[in-house]
Amino acid sequence: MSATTSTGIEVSGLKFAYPGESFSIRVDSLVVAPGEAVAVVGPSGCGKSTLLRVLAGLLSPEAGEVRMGGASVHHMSARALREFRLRSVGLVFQDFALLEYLTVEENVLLPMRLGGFADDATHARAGQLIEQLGIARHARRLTRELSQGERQRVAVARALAHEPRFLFADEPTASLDAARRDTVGALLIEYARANNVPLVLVTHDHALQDRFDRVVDFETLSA
Amino acid sequence: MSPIAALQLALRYVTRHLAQSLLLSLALGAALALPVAVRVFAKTVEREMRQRAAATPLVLGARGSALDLMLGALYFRRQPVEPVSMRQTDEVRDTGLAEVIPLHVRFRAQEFSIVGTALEYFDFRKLRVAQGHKFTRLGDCVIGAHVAAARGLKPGDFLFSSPEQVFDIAGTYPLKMRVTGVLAEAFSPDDDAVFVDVKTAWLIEGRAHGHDDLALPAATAEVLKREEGNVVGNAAVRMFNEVTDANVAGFHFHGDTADYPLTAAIVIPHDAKSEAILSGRFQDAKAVLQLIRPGDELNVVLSTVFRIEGAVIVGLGLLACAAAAISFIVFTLSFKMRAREFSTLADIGVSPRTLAAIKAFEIALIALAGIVVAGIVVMLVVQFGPALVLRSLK
Repeated sequence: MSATTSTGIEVSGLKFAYPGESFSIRVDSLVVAPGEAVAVVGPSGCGKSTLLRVLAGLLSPEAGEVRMGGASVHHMSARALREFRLRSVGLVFQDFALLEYLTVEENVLLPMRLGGFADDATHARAGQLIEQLGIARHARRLTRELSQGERQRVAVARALAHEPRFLFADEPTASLDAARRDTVGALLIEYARANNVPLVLVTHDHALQDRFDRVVDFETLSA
Repeated sequence: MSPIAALQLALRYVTRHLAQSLLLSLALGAALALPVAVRVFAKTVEREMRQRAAATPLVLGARGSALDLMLGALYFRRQPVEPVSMRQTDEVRDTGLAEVIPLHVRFRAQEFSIVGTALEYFDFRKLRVAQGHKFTRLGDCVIGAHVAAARGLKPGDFLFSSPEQVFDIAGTYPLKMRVTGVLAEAFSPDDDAVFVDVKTAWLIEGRAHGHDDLALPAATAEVLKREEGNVVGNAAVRMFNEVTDANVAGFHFHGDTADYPLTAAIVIPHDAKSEAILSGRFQDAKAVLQLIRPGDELNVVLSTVFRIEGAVIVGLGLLACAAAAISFIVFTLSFKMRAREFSTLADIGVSPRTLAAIKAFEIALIALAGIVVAGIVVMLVVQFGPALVLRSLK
């Protein structure tokens, strides 16, 4: 993996509520240093996934600020924010969000191709990730033909293929057996540490939590 | 954002949902093609029908349906028209105002009409004999190009006339006709006809026959009784179902051939004045014959057809609009069902413009396939439609 310079994630005075709904989240302060792997834990439905989406710039907060690499994410123009997400942010969604009519390889390369920055290096890297995640024999198969665990690994490969500077993962090991869980968890953490990339990962998996630099209870973030 | 990547993604979606995409394209293509195909088809049929009608100045026949008379005389379709006698057509010829070509269209050789006529018919229609020669003897026939191709016939082969009814055991025997010539393809109903001399048609009809010569002293086994000037044969008399050089002299007609029937006659006036004089003679409502201009009769038919065609095209146009509206709904629902897919793409940073391009490419690919389908349908209709219609007029 190539070295990537990055500064961390800084959150201050964050407030978010879905329009017309009483549910809201509040984060007074959260700092994730470059290369630090932080696990966010908490009961189901408390807002962990929402927090991740706000941090990744997919949702706009009512108040507060999220700074990534020194830039205020929610003050970027829509176009700049899209470009930032496409090139600098790696996202692993809870439901994998794969395109089922594409092959494993096509799914992994999709952000780079649509962004117009796919080249030989990204192809090689995609192949390497597919190999590392144990899904190389499925590379030419459609993702709708794969098991849940295999699809989750494809989602992880897609998040890492463009060498993001910030990494967010929502329950990335929920569908995996113990052995695969370790592989995927280790891969994400190793990537973050090796590339000095901050990683925020939402999980219920206690075994996985032990590998992280820090485990943050969502309930304490607004304390 | 890369438009090529958007096109590739759209292509992947379309090709990996091939059955649905093809079905949608076929439905769209068929709906688009039908109004165009009907229009082109109608125009082609009209052109071909007009060509034949225009090449036939006048048709003489018994008073009754002018349309039936025209279909019989031009397309050899067996219509329920009253016959005219040979004498009546001779009377028109005797005026010296026109040439008259007799037509006898009653019998078939399998699915092909047997047309009893005169040798002048070939010159009149500019029909060229590609193999062999024209008929020279009673029982000979010249066949159209399609008849020859369909039955694998060539000069020297034989072709049987078909009985009018399966159980017509008292009727005349099928005649074994000698093929003397094959016509070059004329792209007209002549290609599907079997041409014989009008006398051969009468022979098939039973107005003439050939059998053993009972006048010979040796023919005692076939003679029931001999009277002065008359010989009565018994059931052992052999009737000939084929005309050969050996037995042709044994064929004879009963009665006056001037009274024998014809279906119609093509009348070719020498000039416009002759045409006007002849037309005037058959204007009388009490006349037993009618002289029609096929072009005029065709106009009457086509004006009705085109009124119907207009309504059909409007209907098909509405159908095409409905198909387009349904396709729009199908795409809208499809995109709605794939909302998660598009929101994923938006989440990873794909611009709304690229998302719109992906959708537009998918629609364009299906529409393009639909247009290709429409083109093929129109091409097939133009290629084979008119021939099928003209063949159905037989």
